[in-house]
Amino acid sequence: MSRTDDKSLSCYLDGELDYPHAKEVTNQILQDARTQDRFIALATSQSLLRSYGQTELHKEVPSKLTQALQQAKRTKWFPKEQRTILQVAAVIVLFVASYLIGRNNRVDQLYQPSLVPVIPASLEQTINTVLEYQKSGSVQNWIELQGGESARITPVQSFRGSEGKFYRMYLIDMTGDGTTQQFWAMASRKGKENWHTKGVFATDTPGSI
Amino acid sequence: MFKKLFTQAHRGQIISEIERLLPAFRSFARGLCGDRFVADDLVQAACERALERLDQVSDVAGVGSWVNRIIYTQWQDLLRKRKSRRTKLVSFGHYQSTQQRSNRAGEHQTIAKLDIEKGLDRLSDDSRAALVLVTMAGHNYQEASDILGIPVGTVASRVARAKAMLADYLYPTHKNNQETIEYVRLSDEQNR
Repeated sequence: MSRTDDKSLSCYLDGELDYPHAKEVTNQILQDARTQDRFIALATSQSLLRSYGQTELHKEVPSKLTQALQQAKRTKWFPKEQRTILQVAAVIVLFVASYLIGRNNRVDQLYQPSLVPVIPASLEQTINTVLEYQKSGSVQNWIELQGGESARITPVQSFRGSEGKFYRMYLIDMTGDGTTQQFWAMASRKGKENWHTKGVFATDTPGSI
Repeated sequence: MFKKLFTQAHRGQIISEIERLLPAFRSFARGLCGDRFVADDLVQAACERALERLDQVSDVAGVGSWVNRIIYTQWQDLLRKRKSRRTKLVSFGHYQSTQQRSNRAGEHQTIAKLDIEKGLDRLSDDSRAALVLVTMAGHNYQEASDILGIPVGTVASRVARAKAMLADYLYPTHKNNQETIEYVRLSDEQNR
């Protein structure tokens, strides 16, 4: 084997030859003394080089190399400029979410005052009493002796808001001047026999309850 | 955004892999340039560049080849700069003399290591890079080809040329036929 076959021997040593070619090289090494010598020379120098590399592998890594990597590991996921944008976005999202949640939970805002009738003081007192003591479904009549107006109050539903307040919905049929009109109303409890009517809606109001 | 988060989740894994492979990178860089201080500077610069471009890595398994490619590119840049300034690079020969001085101070240094360093110093930069990648860093020819940006056949030629030059310099003093046969047997099994 001539010197030009160093490439084959080198590939053979590196395991880069296919099996038929490797087998051929094996036979040449076993049969030819010059090839044997060359092979030993190449294999020995390669072995020495590998040992040299292994020695380098076991040397202590300087701290300056590891520090940068450890610092990079501790770095937050997002760079500074992106973090600022994300923080602003998070604040906006929280604001919108809290607004939407609050809007859904606050009965005060859901029932905007849209008073249709003017409720006389004496009727208001009756409503307070009804809402305080009457069960849902019971009916209480009210008559204004001087004007001849009358009303019928029917509590419909009771519930407790997320903020802990008690609410009652009631129907009120008001009769005056020979006509009767029905309204939905919502009241929140302020104290004993003290209910504050939040809104009154004519039952034929579009979008009302 | 979710893609970004997913990518960022790999960031730690890639950095850990780079950290784990630091000794191998140093070994490669040392074999490449021959001076441990220059090698460490090369590795540091390569790591910094790698950290800036973490999004280029899709597979953690390919981190070794990727950083070695960066080290090689940095080394090529350094060579170009030094050559343009007509300054001589620190060579293995220089480092060797430093080691010899330190030997006198009691540091352990084998003759074989000195010979290897001297032998490597005689190789051309291209051949040395190919040889160090394949023999010291343990890459196969295909990986070395990707790192060096040359065809596989060229890698094989450069490695063979470098080995031949190194072998000519370090021609073994022992010729034992039995040892040869053992080498052949082991290599044959490895190839099989």
